[in-house]
Amino acid sequence: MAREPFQTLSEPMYYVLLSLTRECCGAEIMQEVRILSGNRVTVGPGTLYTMLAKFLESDIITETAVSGRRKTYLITDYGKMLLREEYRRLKEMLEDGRSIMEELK
Amino acid sequence: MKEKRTLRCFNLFKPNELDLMREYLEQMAEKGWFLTKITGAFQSFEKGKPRKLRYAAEIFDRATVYDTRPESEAEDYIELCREAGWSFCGSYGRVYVFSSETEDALPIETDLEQKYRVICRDLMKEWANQYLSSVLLLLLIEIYTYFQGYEFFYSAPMNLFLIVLLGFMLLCGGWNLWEILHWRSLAKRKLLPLRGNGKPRSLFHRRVLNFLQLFFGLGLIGMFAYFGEVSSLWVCVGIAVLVCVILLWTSTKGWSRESNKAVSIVLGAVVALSGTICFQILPDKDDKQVYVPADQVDVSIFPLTLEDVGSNALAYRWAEVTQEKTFLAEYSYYQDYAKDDPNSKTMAELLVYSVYRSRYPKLLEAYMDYRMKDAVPERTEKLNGDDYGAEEAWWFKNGLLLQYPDKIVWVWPLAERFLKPEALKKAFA
Repeated sequence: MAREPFQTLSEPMYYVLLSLTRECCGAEIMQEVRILSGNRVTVGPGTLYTMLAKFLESDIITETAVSGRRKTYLITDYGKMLLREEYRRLKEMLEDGRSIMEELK
Repeated sequence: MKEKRTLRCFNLFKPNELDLMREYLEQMAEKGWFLTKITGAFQSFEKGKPRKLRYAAEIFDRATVYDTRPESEAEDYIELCREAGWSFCGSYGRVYVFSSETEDALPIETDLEQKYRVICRDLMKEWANQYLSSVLLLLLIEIYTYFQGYEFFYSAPMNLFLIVLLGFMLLCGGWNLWEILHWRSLAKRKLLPLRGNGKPRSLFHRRVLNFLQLFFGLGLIGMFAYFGEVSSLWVCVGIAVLVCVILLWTSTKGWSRESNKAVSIVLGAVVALSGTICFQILPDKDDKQVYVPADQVDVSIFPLTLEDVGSNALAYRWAEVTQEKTFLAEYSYYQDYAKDDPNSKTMAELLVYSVYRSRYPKLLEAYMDYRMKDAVPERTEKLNGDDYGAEEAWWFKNGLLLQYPDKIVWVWPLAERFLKPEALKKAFA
């Protein structure tokens, strides 16, 4: 299965998955990413479409409801595991840099 | 006069010129022309009140070049863009165009690296489709004809023009490839706006370039028509025009991806089949030789009459003239000793008396070399050319080969009374 590309998540991917911890539609995801990152990260609809399609193919997220063309998505257990892994990695990175950064101060 | 309400424009934007397309559409909106429909390279506009409108032209990676209307996946993509404030204007192939009234709508593609990767892939695919397959085909034809022997250069004028065409395609293809690679390297270093190679090229500039390409292409076709196989050429042009018209017609129908694919496959098969049939039926170069009764031949180009070089017992004779338009014109007199049947061309029964003329001395020299390859040393004798009013004269295999500045004369086999060169010398004198 094509799960290898998601060993590490890019910044927009991380925020999209964070926002999908609760059921969201496309517009809500874009909005949520902006709020979560304090407007630092934006995901355009084209980029979001490609990302959601890849996530769906890799069972990272799932479609929960379809009304007309409007679809809502939710993260899967596998997606949650990836997100936790990424969170742990980021935390480790932060910890690894802490002593050096404090010295720099 | 009634004011024009609709407008149809032809602008072909490459995948790396999508920003140019966006700017063009925004400029049109400021002039009061709003995009209503895209059919291939044609954009339809409708007149309205001039206003500022934001446009976006993006490649939708899940679409294919066969799409003439948004497929199911594209509907989802369009919906997502609509939720983000972009309304769908039209699409052609993989390019989707949107417009937005609001200034703060998010850009459709925010992952620029991914976007450039897709564009580079599309450019390379387009390049391979345009040039690689045709160049390979032409190259194969050239290699094949090269191994066919001497006919490579002068007896098949089409070959020379295939080489010209090949050269033209290599030049265009090379230039195009350089442009793509250059653009890619620039795009890798700093993310460029999508307007070709980052230089602001006006639409006028593009139109001049397109016109020049078309002009050169037509010139090449004209050259083919003049020197080469006229009938086959026009059949090719006819088929190409027909295919273009059919493809254009199907693109307005908005058929599904599968139907468009099927049409392409069927068209490909029909073109291949009809092309093959046409080339089989149409006269090729050999058939262009005109057989005329011997008494109607322009005898002024033959240094000696047929009676001079032939025997007295003539049962039938005819002449063959290839078109002067080709590189090497051949005027041949055949004389059949035994049969009344003009289709009998068994060499043992024939006298071949040919004059080769060409506007290109190099070709005559090449032909002379080719003839001399047949010479058997013990039966070959160099004669004094002056005796025949020629530059060079050779006697071999009961035949006579004379080289003049503007022509080559080849007579074989000679009548018995001329089997000694001296007898022939007297005749020429």
